[in-house]
Amino acid sequence: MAEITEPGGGLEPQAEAPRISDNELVAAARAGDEVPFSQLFERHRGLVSRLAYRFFSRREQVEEISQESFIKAYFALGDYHGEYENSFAAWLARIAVRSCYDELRRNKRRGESNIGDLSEEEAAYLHERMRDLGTSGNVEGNAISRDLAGKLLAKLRPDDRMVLTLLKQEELSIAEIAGVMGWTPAKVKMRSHRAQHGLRKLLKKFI
Amino acid sequence: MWKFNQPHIENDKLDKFGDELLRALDASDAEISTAATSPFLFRRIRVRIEAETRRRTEERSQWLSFVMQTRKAIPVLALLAIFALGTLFYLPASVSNSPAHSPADQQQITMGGMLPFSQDEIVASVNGWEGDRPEMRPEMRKEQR
Repeated sequence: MAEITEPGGGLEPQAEAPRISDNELVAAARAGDEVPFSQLFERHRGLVSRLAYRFFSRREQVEEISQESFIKAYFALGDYHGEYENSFAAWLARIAVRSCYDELRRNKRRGESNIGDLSEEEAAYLHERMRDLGTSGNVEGNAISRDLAGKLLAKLRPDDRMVLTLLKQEELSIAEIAGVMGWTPAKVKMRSHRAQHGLRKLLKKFI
Repeated sequence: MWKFNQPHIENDKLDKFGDELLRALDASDAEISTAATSPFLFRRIRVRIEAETRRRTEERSQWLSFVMQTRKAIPVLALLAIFALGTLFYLPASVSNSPAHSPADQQQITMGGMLPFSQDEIVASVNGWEGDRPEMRPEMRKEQR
């Protein structure tokens, strides 16, 4: 779980001297002090936003996930004893991933971001962009591609999307995904196989 | 041979394309930073935490006020419960001591008091009627003659 525990996205924790550990801040926040919780927020908001961007392309959605994750974390501070890999970041990442999963399921129920939303022109554009993905440094183009890719991947089932993202983007192992999602390793393996199959089927339609 | 290998190659292509699609979702550091450093993000979180805390407190106080309101009914309910328990303990003892507890009488009781016969008497009478029938047949024959 190396990647998920690192505060990512270039938002390194601000240098403080002497730096108070996360566990100490958690203990202070649990006592009802607001300042330590705001410090925890400052340190880890980049990590939560980066994780949320793995699943959602719109900034409003990312901010919503950030809010939800920190609120859940605040009310669950009593359950955190530093035992989960002895890292607050890993514990928070787990909450953020589950918040994303809940949001994906809610979106699916509401029928949002159907593949029907992707017009033929958009599909052609995305296909073209995929060819020279690494070579292009166009920020606007990348944003459009991400939006379209998000629309396309929203067609997948939330379970499949979750497993594929954690496996391929976060590069977590089966055991780590099982730990994050609270599933058995056998279930993760089965779901990853099904997710891969589902993605191929989706792409066959798309191509 | 070519046909045999084709689906495998196709799957590889699709997997590669799928990976690229997933990679396309990666946001840039600048975008992540913009979303994370949104000026009112923590304020919104704080407001929602306060609202949730208030809601939880209200919920708890509602439950407490309900308990306080029903506090007067608690002694009455306790008395009723004691009475019900006492009745439960008393009833089996009084039934076992009653004179109508022999098996024969029990059968009469089970007939609901509608018939003054026990179940054995009814069965015996039915058997007797069936057993009498062959003896009656010669008499009936004589009368017929």
